[in-house]
Amino acid sequence: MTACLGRRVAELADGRLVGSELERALAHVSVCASCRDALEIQRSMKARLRGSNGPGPSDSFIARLSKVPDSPVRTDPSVAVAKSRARHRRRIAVAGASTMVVALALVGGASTLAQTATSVPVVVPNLAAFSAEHVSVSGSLPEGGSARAHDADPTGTRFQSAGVSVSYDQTDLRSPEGLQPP
Amino acid sequence: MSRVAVALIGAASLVAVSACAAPTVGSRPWAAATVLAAPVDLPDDPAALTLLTRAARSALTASYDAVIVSTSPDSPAPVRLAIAHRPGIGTSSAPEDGSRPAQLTPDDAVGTALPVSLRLLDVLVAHFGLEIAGQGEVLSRPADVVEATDARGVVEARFWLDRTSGLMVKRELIDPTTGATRATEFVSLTVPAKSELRAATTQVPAAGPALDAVAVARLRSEGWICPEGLPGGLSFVSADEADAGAVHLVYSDGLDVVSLFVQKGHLDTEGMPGLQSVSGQAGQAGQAGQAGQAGQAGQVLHTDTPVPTWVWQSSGSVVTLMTEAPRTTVERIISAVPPDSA
Repeated sequence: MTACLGRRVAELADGRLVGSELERALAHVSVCASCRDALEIQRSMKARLRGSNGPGPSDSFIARLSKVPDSPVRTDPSVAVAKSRARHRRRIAVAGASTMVVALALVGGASTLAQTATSVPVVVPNLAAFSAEHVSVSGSLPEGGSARAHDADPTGTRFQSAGVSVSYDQTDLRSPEGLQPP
Repeated sequence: MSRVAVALIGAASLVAVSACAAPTVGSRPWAAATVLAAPVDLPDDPAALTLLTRAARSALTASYDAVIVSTSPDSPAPVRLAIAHRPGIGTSSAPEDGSRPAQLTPDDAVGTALPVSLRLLDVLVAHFGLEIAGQGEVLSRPADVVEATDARGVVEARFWLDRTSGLMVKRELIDPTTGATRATEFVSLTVPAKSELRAATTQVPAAGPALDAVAVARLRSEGWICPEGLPGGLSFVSADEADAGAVHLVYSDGLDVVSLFVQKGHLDTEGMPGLQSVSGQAGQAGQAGQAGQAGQAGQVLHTDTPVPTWVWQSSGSVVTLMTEAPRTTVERIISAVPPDSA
């Protein structure tokens, strides 16, 4: 058997191998389980990046972004994309109408942007939404500042919060080889 | 994944390079970060690649309950999380003491929520030389140890790969600048007796619709902050639509993942009372105070929860950085996308 493909797995998944190199790579994959697995993973990742799990690139989204003014001039300090409820109430009394105009424009009302082309939106990033997005791509696990080992109850029952029960067919269970119950 | 992403954006990069080229760098300092991010092609041990590939696959196909412990210089104490993975469903995670409801991250997320895993295997391969360093033991079970070495020959990560299950059961990330080590390790690992994931009270939402290479190139050409790379060898991985007209840019070196959220506009710090203002070196913790008036020049706001976050104003945009990467890396990123000066 020829040597494993190594980095060329990615090139194979990308369709960048040609001719005899491609033939040798495919011949190797046909007899090498490790490279076959690696190729499967690469192709899966590529499919995800192509957006196979969701809608394609949004032209309207880009068009909407393109219309957001980037001048540093700030014409309406009360305008905000997101804000606390208290601040929202306070400012609505001052400039509620303009707030609605720009907020709507930013979340989808492209047609209203023309009316506010000279206004620079005041932005309060939605950290809750952003952190969820970050977690979805990074796989990081938010700590929330409450899971420190020093104050954890080592005898506490895991998953105490009786939430949604996710069930599935027992046949879906696959244990890795050698992973034995205690 | 990076290789794929790079391939996908390759053509667009050629188009975009004119927009990010030298004449415009002065007005867009983040563009200069591009030159810092090109990974060096390093040789890899095929046996190490095989082990890591097996680990990535096992992480998706194995069904297990586990407790993991993470330690970091940025965290005052170790973090203990109870996790459970079910193939095809995802991973639930919660503090071991039950102090916070668990959340479920589906397996089909771009990055699977496996705390000790290889979420971005190809990015790792592209950035580091990988070789088997020897044998070790985790959970009283034999494991192969794989090291990731940078272009200078400095070991930046070690992975312990369980010989029998194939799972990655321990990972150490070493800050090449400070030598500080972040570690995540399984301290228990069992086959579940039940097939249910009762912990899943919330589900991590999937990322927004992806932006393809053409869309990213268009954003760059229109002056959006959208570096092709970031300091610390972080390569552009993907972009997607985020909340409220924000663009979500993802960068990684295979070890850390960085999210940059970019919104056109003016930062209103008054709307973020829970964040601390940090000063001194870019983003460096310390000398913190409450967030002040809207859009104070040069100001960087910071919080550690729910994920480490930095927010600042730069060139007409509001930039939100989220990452678990070392603070030295964060400082370099902020320097590359600098806050507006006073």
